[in-house]
Amino acid sequence: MRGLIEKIVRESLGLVLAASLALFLVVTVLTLILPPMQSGIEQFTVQLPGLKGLLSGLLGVPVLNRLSAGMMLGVVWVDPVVLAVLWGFEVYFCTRFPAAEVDNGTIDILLSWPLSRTAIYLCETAFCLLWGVVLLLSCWLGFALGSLWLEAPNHFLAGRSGLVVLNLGAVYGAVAGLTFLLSSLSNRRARAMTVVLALLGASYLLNFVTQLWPPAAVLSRFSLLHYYQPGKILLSGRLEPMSLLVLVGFGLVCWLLGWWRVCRRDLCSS
Amino acid sequence: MRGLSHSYRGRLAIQDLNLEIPQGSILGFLGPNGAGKTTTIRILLGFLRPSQGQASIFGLDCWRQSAEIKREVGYIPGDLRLYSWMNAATALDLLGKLHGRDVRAAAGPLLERFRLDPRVAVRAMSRGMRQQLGLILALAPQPRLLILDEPTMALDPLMQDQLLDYLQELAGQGHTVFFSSHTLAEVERICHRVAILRDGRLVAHESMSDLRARGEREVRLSFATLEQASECQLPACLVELQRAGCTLRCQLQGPVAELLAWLAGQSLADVTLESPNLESIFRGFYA
Repeated sequence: MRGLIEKIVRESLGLVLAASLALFLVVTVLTLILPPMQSGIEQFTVQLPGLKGLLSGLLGVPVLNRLSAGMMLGVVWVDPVVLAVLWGFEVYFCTRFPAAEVDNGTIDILLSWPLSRTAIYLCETAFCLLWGVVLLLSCWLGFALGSLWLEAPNHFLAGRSGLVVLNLGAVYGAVAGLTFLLSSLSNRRARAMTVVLALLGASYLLNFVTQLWPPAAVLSRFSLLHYYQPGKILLSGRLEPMSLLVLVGFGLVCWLLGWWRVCRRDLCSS
Repeated sequence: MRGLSHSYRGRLAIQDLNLEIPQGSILGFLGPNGAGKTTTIRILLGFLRPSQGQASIFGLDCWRQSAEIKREVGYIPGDLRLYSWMNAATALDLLGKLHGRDVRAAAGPLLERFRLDPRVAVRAMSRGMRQQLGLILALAPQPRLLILDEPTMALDPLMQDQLLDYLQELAGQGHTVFFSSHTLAEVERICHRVAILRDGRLVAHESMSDLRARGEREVRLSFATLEQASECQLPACLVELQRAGCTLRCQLQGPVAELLAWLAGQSLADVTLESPNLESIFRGFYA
């Protein structure tokens, strides 16, 4: 197992450090620049009423005419750049085994070593979670650092931002589980990544559509982002346990299906 | 292997294979492209799940106990792809950790034998060097069984010789070698037994000596005079192929002893007995 751990670290450490640094910088900068833009964004929401719906969908809390400081800080956690870096990394990482190994033709060598498929799957999962913690911690540290320069009442709230990180962590887990499942079904990394990213994009879009078109509201529960409510958490200081449960449960079921598939399917270079 | 079959997208890649390899022997696994050689190897290594039948190595099931089996098996795939960040040193270090023992000491003589610089990264290696590294990784843990899928493909003739000699040494020490190849000459040179696959079925499995005994041999008889050559009555074991001057080219179709008894009564200037031509036998199985 030590050899496998060393292999995973060699292949992913550079990328995880780069992604962590990028997240830290982006979150720090966003935390610094978004609250001062509060009045400008309020004007936008008056001119473009649809923007309120979009922000409501992203933040998980109804946006009225006036934006609170808490809401502005919530935007940091739903910024497309932040989510793209986080998801981009995890989708890339979670398609390593088996999709990328089959795609690259290295699966024959990997499976010729004295390792069971379960051991490889578990090891990849453990590192996916470990790197997830590193990335989320980077976000949180960036948020903490950016908040230091803000005036009251936007000071850093460790407990509330910690709950947002926990909620984002559950989203990370759900996306990881889905990606592991699709990777286990595919022989092509690009195909698996495209499907996951398309589903995430659709989830993002569904979240907006349900805000802008009330008859579609019933579909909102099918979007992963429906269970991600950073604005609500920052305002109320409460995280809905059901949201956490849905995200973790979804990720776990997908991951277990992926494991089952990996252990039963034919695996070799094509 | 007992009644081993595997189907892929509704097509039977291999059908009802029954094969046993004695310890310490080299089995040549032959067959044309698409015959099912690689599929068989992949089942042995637990990459593919057999549709029917069972494959086992050292008494362990190849599908269910694959990880345990691979502690004792070295493998090189036909289309070898290695991780680009590797070099021989890091790969051997990694392999040692995976096997739970240091394999670098055993790899030293192999690196020397295959003349591979351990510091060159895979991304900077030629195809032949990658193949050499793949072989070193398969051989360094000193496995009881080696499964080699066309291992000489990217090697130059000198390296091919080194490998074939080394495999013979290993077999002499009790290691077993499963040697899949297209090249009849190398199979003929090192293998003790040969199994031939065609359209997913085993069409032959016999020892090399039995195969050689069945091989056609050419005999050249040179007489002192034209008269002797024209008056010569060939025995039943010889079939005339060509007559040119005082020389007769014949094919031996029977035991050598019968030929030798006939030769004793002839007044010949010279006689040449060629080695058995296994290629024609192999081609017969392939066709």
